[in-house]
Amino acid sequence: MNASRAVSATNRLRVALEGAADALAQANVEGLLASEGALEFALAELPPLAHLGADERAAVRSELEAAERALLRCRRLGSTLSDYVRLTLASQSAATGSSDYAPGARGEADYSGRSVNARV
Amino acid sequence: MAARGLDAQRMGLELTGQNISNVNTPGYARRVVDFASVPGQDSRSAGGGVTVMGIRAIRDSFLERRVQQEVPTEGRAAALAELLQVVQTGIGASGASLDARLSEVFGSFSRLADAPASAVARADVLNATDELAQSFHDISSRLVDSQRSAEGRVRSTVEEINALGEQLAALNRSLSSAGPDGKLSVQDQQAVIIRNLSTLVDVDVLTNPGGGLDVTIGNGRALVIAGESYAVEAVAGPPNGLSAIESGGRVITDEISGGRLAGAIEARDVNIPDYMSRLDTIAFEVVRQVNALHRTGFDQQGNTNQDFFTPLGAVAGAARLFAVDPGVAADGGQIAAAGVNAVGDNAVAKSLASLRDALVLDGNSATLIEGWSSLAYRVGRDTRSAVDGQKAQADIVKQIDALRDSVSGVSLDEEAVQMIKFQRAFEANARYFSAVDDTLNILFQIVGR
Repeated sequence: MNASRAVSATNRLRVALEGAADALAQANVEGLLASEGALEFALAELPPLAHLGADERAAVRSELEAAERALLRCRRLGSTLSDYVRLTLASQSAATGSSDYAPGARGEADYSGRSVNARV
Repeated sequence: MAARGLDAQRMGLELTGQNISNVNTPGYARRVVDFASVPGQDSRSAGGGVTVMGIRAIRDSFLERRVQQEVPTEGRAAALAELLQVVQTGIGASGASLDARLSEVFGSFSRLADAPASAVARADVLNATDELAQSFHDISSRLVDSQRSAEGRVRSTVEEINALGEQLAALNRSLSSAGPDGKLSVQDQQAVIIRNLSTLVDVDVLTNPGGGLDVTIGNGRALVIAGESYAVEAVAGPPNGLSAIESGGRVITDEISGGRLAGAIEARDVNIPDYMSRLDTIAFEVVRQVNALHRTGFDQQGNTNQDFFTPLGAVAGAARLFAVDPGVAADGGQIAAAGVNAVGDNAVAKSLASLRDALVLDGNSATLIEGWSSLAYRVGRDTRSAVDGQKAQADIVKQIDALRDSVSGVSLDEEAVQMIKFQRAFEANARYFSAVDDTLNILFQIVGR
């Protein structure tokens, strides 16, 4: 097993997740779209991690912990984004996921009194 | 970093939502967030995320000022057009108003000339002149009503101006205690008030360093300075009770050149008085010319040197006072149709009938009926000019508004598309998050936590 390959692969995954999180945080659509490919590539390139030495294992663990934090950040930012987009578009009668365009039918029950969960 | 990034993203999205919510709010200027990246703490860090430097309202001061310049012109034309359209309706349609009554009077004199001894012809003359008098009274009364209506507009507009001035002064006072977002909101409200004020009267606006607006009208008369408003007043005075506009005790009526106030003042002080004067001139000339001929004639009892209409001392008010002499009105026999004291003579009746074509108005260049046509044409021309001016100016204001909105306004499509793009992009990523989560759990089992 090539240990440096394992470290660099997990590093790629961490960087891809952090890129997605940063794109979400900065409302950077292009960055968010680009990170999809980076995530796909990072997952596909992950090698088996058996037989790692102690140093490599520590380095990989550090990268994995950072990747886990980045993933958590992605999910929270994404959850906030989805919630906010859904409520805002519903208030404009322009919700996605529905083919029924009904400007007069404002789905107030969906958004009335709701707030966005933006807690970290 | 996560908290900071989340806050930044939330603020951006909330602003998008706020922009969408205010898409139809007058005066609202689109908000944008200024993001800045936070550097990473070491070389392995992808960066410290993002932070919000501030929120700005997108405004173009040049276009805002152009709106302030063009809106008063539209307001003036609009007020003038509204008031003159009422006048135009009040004077009646050509061929069915005073011109028809004048024709009928001259026609009745002509019929009297054909049958000077006829009681029916004499009654016909009295009936026609009575209708002419009624027509003069009606039109005069409508012009007076229109002038009073314009006066009412002047007074109500002054009240609106003062109310807006007070609101603006209150906003200026609130700036000292407003936070950054509160100041942007105050600016939105200031823009609305200035727009509304500009519709009412031409104003000069100066922005002081604290963001407050100082507003003057006329030749630099203070309306709002910092947190204080200075009311303008509509002070009624002689001779007709029409109001003069005063600021700080000075009459500034002549200094008002734009806005609905200027339009109402122009209609009240220029247009309508001109129409009144022309109507009075026609009435006065009818009385003067008819009486001059009538006094030379003889009635059926042989009396001479009698007026047909009640004599008028001055042109002013002639239309309102226009009346057949009470003695003549009571007895058609007192109409002096004869040029000599002989039964059957019709010389004066013929002369009276020929007044139809006599050039007695406008420096002896127009007949009485032409005088009326000229007045009707003038009213129509002024009204058309005001209506056309208002339409043209409305187009200009609309164009500037569109330009301003392209800078400051919210494009709902743009904002919605932006949100949907975010949502789709996140969904594309989210497909991998579960796989990443599972993979991380497996890898942690291998390398240990």
